[in-house]
Amino acid sequence: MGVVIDAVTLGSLYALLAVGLSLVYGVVGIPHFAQAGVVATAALLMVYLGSHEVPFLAMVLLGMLAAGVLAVLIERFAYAPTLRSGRGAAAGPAVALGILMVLDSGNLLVWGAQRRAVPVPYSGETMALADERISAVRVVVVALAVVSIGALQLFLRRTRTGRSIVGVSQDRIAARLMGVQVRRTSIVAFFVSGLLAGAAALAYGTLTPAYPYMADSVILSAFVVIIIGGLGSVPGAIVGGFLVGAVEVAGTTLISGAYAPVYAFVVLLIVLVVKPNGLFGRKVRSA
Amino acid sequence: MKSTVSRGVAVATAVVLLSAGLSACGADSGGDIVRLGAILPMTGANATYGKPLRQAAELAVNRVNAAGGITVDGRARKVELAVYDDGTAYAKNIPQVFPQAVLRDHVPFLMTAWSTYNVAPLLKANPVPTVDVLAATWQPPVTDLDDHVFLLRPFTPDIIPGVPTYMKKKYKARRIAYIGPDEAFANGQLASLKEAAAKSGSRVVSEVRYPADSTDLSSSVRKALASHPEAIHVGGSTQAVAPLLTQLYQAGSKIPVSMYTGMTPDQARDLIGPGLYGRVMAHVHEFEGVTPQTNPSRAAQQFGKDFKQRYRSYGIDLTQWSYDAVWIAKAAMEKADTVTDKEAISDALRDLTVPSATVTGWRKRGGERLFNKQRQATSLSVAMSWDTAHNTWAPSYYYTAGLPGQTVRRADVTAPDTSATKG
Repeated sequence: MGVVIDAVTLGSLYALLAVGLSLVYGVVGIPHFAQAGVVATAALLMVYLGSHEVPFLAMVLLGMLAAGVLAVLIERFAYAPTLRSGRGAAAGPAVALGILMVLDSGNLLVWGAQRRAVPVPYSGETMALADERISAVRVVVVALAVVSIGALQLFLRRTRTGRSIVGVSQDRIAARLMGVQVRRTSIVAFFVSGLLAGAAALAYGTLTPAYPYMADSVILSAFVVIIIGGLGSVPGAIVGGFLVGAVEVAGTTLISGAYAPVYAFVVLLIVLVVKPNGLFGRKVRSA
Repeated sequence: MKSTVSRGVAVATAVVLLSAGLSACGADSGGDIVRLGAILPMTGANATYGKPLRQAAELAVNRVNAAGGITVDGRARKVELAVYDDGTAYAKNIPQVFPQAVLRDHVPFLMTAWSTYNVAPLLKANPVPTVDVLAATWQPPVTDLDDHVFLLRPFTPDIIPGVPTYMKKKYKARRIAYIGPDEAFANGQLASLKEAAAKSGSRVVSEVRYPADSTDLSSSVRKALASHPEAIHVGGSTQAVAPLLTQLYQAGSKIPVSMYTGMTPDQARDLIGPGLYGRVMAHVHEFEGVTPQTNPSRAAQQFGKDFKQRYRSYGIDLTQWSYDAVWIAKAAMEKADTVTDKEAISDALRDLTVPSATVTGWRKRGGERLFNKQRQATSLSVAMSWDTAHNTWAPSYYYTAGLPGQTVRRADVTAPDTSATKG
């Protein structure tokens, strides 16, 4: 039972990180490595607010909102000019990595290198499930993923803006011809990815202390997840997240934790051999 | 156009030569200023330690200067600290940083932390007396890499052997589980723990290692608990063990935990969270070289108070070693009667008696000497329990160990009152 809980927790975290990346990739076709910096910024802001007696809910909302605004700024001042120059496919990954470095360094300058736990009122709480003691932190990670991804799915399917994002993600030119305002849609997609980064910051910041580089490694796992699920596919990110989480936990339990990152890459290789575009992927865009 | 370019090149060359000349003037250790080099992790993952190391060395430099500086050949010279940031990326940055310190700035003495494995190979061509205040691990000891390296830190073989001895004494615990990241410092702890456990009649019943940047440690914790240990040792640095301690608590474990991190009460509060750390730390025991707060030496206690007053932070164990490194440099240069002859300063370090202004309370080796034949210094180690009433560490067992035998010897000293040092 404990192993299942571990797998679900890790899968939830990966899914939460991956859907934001997938959303952005679908809209602009750039691997948004800078999402790691957005997650760290939100987590560090939450630490700051929490340590200054800001109520928990306000701390979370302000952290998520700040992450949303930061993501929009990245889109406006980094990705949009890159895409306008017509070199998005070639320059996009380099720009994304550059922005990540800027955010890492900026966070180091503003918050310092000290690691701090995101203060949450439930960190010491536990509950029993089938003779297993489960930390409330893990329950909240899963709940955050379910609520955030559920809300995202509702937004994408039930709102005009959400459907515009899906449309742009499927075919940018066709969406434009159909009257979709691509620039506005892109801004909204980035804002939503920022909100998801804020939720991921809360989830991850309770499993490991927050510091400027906190998400630089986990974001690579999230990219493995979206490649497994299919680039730009939100359902693929969800399935990929839980698949990678389950494989990592099973590998750690049955073989050794020392090779945890390898397990995800083995799954990635198998998926790419069987389904080169990922589990839910379309043909990869060429520009 | 061509002449404009040529003029530009000429001006740029002149500026570079002028700045190189100025730099050389500032670094002239034969002049009125002696520049001590400190290669420290001021950025990157170990920046948490770089800052207090620098602060302690700066405090010592101020005091050395207030006491008249370094007197060589009848002339007093002021001391200056030149800090070089290794960015915690030793393999990548030391090849750039070392020449800046040794070839450009001509420092006659180096202080290092963690980077010595990367510094040592460069000492072959450019020998500089190098005092390592914080070695990464002990297999092989850094002092084996070059005979200009001197190890100040009470390191793994001085500290870890106390773990099985203390856990057996206090909890009758003979089955020890190990969890830690797969990196040099933690793996060194595991090697020492296994050897020491075998000697003391205990045994390491499970070894769980995980990648240093693991996302979630719950399955590693679960695996260690499945081996039914009577004690758990968590390996790695302060940052590595904090999430492990939290997850052990969240898994409902009340098994006593040992660690060797230098984690302060302030760090425990920040890393675990202000609402939780008191409960998480209740079963944790820290093993380390004595800190200014736990050191029975009055000089160390006073240093700790001064450090806290000046920098508003709890002076961890390594601040004493960094502080003492400056006084050791002064003593070695005065003994060698030179501030430039690096070989003479190295020779002086080999025979140096414990300088009276140091605060750590170094154990005297072979008479009054600071370093043993392997050029390693030793000070007291201590096992500490968490004082739940004051949310701080309380020393409970002082000892010495160390190479070659890692034999634990209890030290009969009076522990200072640490209740005022809560986080």
